[in-house]
Amino acid sequence: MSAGQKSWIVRILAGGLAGAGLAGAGYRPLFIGGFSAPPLCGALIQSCGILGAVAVTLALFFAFGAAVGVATLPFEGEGRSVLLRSGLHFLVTAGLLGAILRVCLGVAWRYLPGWLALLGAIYLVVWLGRWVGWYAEVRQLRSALGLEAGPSPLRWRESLPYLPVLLLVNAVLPAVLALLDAPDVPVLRALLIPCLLLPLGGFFPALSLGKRQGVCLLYPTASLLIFLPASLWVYGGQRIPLFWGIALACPLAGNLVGAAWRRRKERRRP
Amino acid sequence: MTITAPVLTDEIRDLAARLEGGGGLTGWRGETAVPLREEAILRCFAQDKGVKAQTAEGVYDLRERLYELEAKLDRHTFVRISHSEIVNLRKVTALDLSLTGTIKMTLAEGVVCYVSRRYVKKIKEALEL
Repeated sequence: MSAGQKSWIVRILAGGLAGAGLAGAGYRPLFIGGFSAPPLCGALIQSCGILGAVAVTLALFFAFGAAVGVATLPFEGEGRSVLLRSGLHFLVTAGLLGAILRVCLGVAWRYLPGWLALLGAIYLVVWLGRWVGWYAEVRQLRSALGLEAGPSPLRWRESLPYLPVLLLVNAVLPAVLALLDAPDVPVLRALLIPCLLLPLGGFFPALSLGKRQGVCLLYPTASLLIFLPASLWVYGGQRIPLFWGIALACPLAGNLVGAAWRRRKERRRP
Repeated sequence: MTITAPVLTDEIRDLAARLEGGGGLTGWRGETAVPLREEAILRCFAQDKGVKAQTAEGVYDLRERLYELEAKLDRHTFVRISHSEIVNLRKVTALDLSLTGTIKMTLAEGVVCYVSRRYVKKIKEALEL
């Protein structure tokens, strides 16, 4: 057995037992309930009996604990394999968490996306933590090799010159259009902003940024963060997730296309 | 030639071995042998079951294996960056990190190679970090 396989098994067992232990510690609220509160696994107990419910719950908690136990392993290595492995791990963990919440704890379907979004945010933080470590390492190597410092973390400094464009497209122009719009037929707000201004104004500056600097994920994030408060003012406090999606997706698409164009050009260079 | 040092360390042995070897490699193009100076070598890499050395002038076949080259070349200048590649650190012109952790290393003449994360420790050791 290789050291890698041994590490997987030890982590699966440790994580799994911790998960099962957690379910065991919560035996009373899960399977018995207390005072006037029914057991959290009430629906499960009804469908497969107390022993079946205990078995299913322990199995799910064990599997979830095991998935958490091996959580750092998919991030080892680099490149596409990290992306694939961590994506697969996220899907498995999200599936198990969803099953625990729905089957064992009886959480309503409508709350599951929120929980999974929280799990996704944790993944993002872990990823960012790993990346900051890699960045510090590369920065150290650059310094030791006498090279230039290289791009700023997540290219925030390189994205700054494009910030005025974002402010103009996502905040100033929508505000001006809202002031000019007819109160009875809001064509500018209902059509011009979501169908023309946000898609084109989001895509093309991001395309230019991608061509010059490569992938800059802070740019689409900033686009969304600027548009969110502006949209609440422009649309009189209405929350329109579709428009928020456009404000995020169009700059993201533009930046990725620009970065792909840049990469292709670099590869063709003799 | 005499080397004088207070203690006979591994580094002194390396130095002596390299001085005996002339501080270079022999590259081959067919049956023609070409002396390659260490400072002219950009990288050595495995390809098509053979080992090659790349300089600004072109690519040459080598008769050594990569592990032999690791022992033969100056370990502070030449370092293994992946399973199949050794680079001359003095020829590195840029290092770029992708979001997925891939490190792209650009050498002189625009030669691009990729550093495996497993070998980052070796680079740090070579640079005494």
